[in-house]
Amino acid sequence: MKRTIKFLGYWTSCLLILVLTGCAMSTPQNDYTNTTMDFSAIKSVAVLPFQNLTSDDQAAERVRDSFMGMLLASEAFYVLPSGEVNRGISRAGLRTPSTPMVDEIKSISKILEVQAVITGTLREYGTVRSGSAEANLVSLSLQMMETETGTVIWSASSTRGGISVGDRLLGGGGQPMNKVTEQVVNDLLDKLFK
Amino acid sequence: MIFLINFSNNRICLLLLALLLLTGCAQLEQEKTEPLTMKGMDVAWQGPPKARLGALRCSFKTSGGSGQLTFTLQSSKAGIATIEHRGEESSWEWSAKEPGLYRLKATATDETGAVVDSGWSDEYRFEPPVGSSSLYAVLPVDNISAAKAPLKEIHQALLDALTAKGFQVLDQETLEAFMEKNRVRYTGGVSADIGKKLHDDAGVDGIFITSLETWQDSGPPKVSLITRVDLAGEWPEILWIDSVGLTGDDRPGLLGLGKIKNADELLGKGVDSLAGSFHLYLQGGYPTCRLAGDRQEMSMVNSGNKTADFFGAGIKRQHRPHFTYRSPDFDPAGRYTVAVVPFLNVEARKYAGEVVALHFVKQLSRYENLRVVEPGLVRETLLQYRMIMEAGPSLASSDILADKNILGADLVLSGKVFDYQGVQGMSKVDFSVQAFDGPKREVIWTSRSYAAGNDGVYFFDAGSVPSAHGLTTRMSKAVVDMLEE
Repeated sequence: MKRTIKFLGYWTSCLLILVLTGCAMSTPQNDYTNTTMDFSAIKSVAVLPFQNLTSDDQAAERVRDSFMGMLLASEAFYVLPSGEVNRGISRAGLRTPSTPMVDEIKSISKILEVQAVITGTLREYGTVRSGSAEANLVSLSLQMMETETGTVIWSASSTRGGISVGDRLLGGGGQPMNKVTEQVVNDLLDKLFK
Repeated sequence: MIFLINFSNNRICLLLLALLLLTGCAQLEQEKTEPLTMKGMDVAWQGPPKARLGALRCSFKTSGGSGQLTFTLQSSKAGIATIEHRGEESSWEWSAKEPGLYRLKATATDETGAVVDSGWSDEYRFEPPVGSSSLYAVLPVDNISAAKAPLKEIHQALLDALTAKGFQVLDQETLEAFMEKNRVRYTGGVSADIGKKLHDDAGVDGIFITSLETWQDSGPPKVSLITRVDLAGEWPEILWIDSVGLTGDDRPGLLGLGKIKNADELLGKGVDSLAGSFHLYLQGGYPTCRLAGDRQEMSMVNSGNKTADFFGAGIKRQHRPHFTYRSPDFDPAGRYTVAVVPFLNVEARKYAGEVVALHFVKQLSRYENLRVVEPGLVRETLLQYRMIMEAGPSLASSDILADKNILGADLVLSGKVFDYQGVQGMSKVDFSVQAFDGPKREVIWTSRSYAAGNDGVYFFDAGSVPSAHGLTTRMSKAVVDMLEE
């Protein structure tokens, strides 16, 4: 009897450790928010062109346009129009606008009169296949830098879409790409404003 | 007590007291102001009784009232009253943008809040600036279909349809000679110089500008045209604009017997409906959107069923923008001059940016409180100032378009087109829109719209939109409705 209780206790402890580590692994802490930063001081932001790591040449521009529109629609910041951002990039002489250096951020912020700059990397934008099932997938990571010092004050990433259990069982091509893009952007905005 | 008795017994003192009281009352009477009254409103024509060309001079006569008076001039058309002017001036000149019958009413308010009005005036008819007897120049068709098309035949079909309706058209030899002499190559718009020369040298009153949006001969045939009429002169203004988008599969009917397999037949139907729509404008029956001041919402004057594009009828939830932003400072009831810049073509077919921009020109022109700058003038300005907009307009380019000495645009509308498919397979359109407030230098509107012709279609293609033209008409109308609501 004593041996059975000891055996049960041993297995319960193992199960508990597994459950706890499993939970810890399911929510990776990839996101960063500078807790000392006063985000209310940011009135206007410039969204620089995103770095495109996908095979679709215009995918980054599509996602950036959606992000800029949805960020403006949130009414949290005033988002500079892309034409104005482009003018700032030309005037500041940014060589790689998607990955600017600290000096370049300071320089462009003076031209555009913004308190923060957002850069992004589009990691996935396309269709994924598994067997006969296929679906659209978008993966995006963003960084916000304040322009006084050029430090990163917020960073987050999100991946949406992909093949669901329903897609595997019933077929279908998943959700339209624009819909998946909106989901990714919504997820990132939720992380920014939480 | 004894003093009072002595005082009352003294007649002189009593007389003095009575005099004092009376003069006091008189002063009080003087301080009391005369009530505010409206004695009338004088209305007189300034120039010809034509919309845009002529105006009504309205002078208000009032008396009394306390302090500074504020006047409001209202106009009423088809029972929809809207405020035209508000200010301290007691005389205004007002011109109607669209032809029709108008009544006017003046309201005066003083500083105490007293309000009087003149009552509605008699009806004043604003005729269209051009008529059936006017001379029209029909410019050759501008091909923005990104495909080869029989442009001469389309042009001839349009000329035939217009002459059949009784319009006087400048003969083609004279027009060609004029174009050769003035080196006119671009026919998708009119510059200020060409507009003036057409009026002064060729005696033209109106200019037909036609853009071919889609052309497909077979399998099934597809034809889409966007046509507008500009007032010839130094400042060409859009008087009327409409579009038509037809496919052979629009009404297949039972066993496909209703299908049209000949592109020329479609073209004939298209140009007939455009000529009919312009005829409707001249009769004063063309639909416009007008702000109903009492309800603070846009109301439509005349039915939209008779236009060539059916006024963007059949807008469903899927045609509305997926997200929008409208600045809280933007007043949709205001009067604005709008410049529509060709949309940036991100990944769509050639000329898709021009096509979507023209759809917005069409939708915005139908609002009485908006004056849309002729796209030819916008193009001329962009070329003159060498504005190359790789990522849409910047504030600097918006400043140029908003300059009172250049275009004087209060709003600059632009956007990006990501997808525009309509020739093969199901139609699909994806674009974003952005509007700047020129003087305030800020974005007042952003939206993103995308839809496919078979969105929300489940049974036997019922409710599908086979042409990209039809889809863009609905989507652009949905955007403008939300911008102006």
